[in-house]
Amino acid sequence: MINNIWSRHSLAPLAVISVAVLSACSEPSPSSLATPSAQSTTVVHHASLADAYSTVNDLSTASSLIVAGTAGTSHVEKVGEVPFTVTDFKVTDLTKAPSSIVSGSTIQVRQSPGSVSPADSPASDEDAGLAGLTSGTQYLLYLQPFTFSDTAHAVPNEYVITGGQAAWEKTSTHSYIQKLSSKLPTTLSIEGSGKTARISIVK
Amino acid sequence: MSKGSKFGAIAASSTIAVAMVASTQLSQAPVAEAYTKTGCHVTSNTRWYLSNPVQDEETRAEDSMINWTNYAGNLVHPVRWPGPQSGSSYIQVVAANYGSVSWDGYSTWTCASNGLSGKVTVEINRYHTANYGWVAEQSVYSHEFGHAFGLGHSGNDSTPCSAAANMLPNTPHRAACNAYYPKSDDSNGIKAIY
Repeated sequence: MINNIWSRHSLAPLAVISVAVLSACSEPSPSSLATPSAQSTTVVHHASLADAYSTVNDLSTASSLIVAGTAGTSHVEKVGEVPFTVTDFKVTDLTKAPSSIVSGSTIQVRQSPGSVSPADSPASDEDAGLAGLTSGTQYLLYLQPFTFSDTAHAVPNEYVITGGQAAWEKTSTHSYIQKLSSKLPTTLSIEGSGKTARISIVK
Repeated sequence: MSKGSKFGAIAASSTIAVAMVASTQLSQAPVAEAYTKTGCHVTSNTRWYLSNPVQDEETRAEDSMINWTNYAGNLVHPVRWPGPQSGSSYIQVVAANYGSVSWDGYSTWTCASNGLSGKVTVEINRYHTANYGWVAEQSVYSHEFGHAFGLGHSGNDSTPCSAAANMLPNTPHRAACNAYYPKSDDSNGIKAIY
């Protein structure tokens, strides 16, 4: 998983950016540290999750947007010194959404910092226990508005994956699977399309 | 005493002895190890500092470091330093509002080929922790410091509180189980690493 992260995320152009970002953020390195060389280091991430969801019902209640669609290109936005990946997501089907979002809309999904790691041995969102999005891949997502204060002041059109894990990757016409280890169902299906789409648990 | 009854008595006492040993072993049997390792570790006397200290963050962080010194010995210098210091590994703690992303704590570190981490960055997401009680907030600090020392996640959402570790991945679960400081599984993990 680690070795093919750049092909999966199609973020190779970001490697240069992220290395530059991390270098710019670095404190002066003490000479006696075990300073990693570019060839011999791995970058590791771990997250502590703020919310725990174990059922689709809980997820549905907590999410303001439930959509299927395709991940597009990504860019990096920094908060302080921390780079976040923000990915365009083109909606095809939706089962819960505000009226402003319809089939064909493009929203933005903010992910963890895990996607932007030095190119020598990058870690991934999955390593941190979080769902990551790959450009060109289709997903079913449960989403919440992204905000720095409250939902009334949410960043327009930008969302986060509910609980960090509520992403299922499309594997066949109707079937979506989750690749993370969680208590959420591993396989969901979508019947119908557009606003009439219905989600059911397969496994 | 007949031969039969003698053997019977020996057999009976043996059975009792075996039962007692088994009982002792059962009562002393440790909970199955759940800790995981990141594969990285820090050097002794690792320093730490807060990039943007505010009072409750300092308290949570310092209390967590003091708790860890009970298990990690001289791995960490519990007193906060004003900034990165030469001559030691260090842990940078940054508490800021990173917005409604799913995590309340996030650790990033580089790991050299010899397994040593020179610098660990711990981000605390004030968007979430500012609304936490002290148990949940301290559990996040302590959890992230556990990562810094080389522990991965332990257990999952099904782990009972009796076996809960500070390295449980979800804050609500840790807080519900009062796992805001290193527990026995965390201690076992540290002993296995160092």
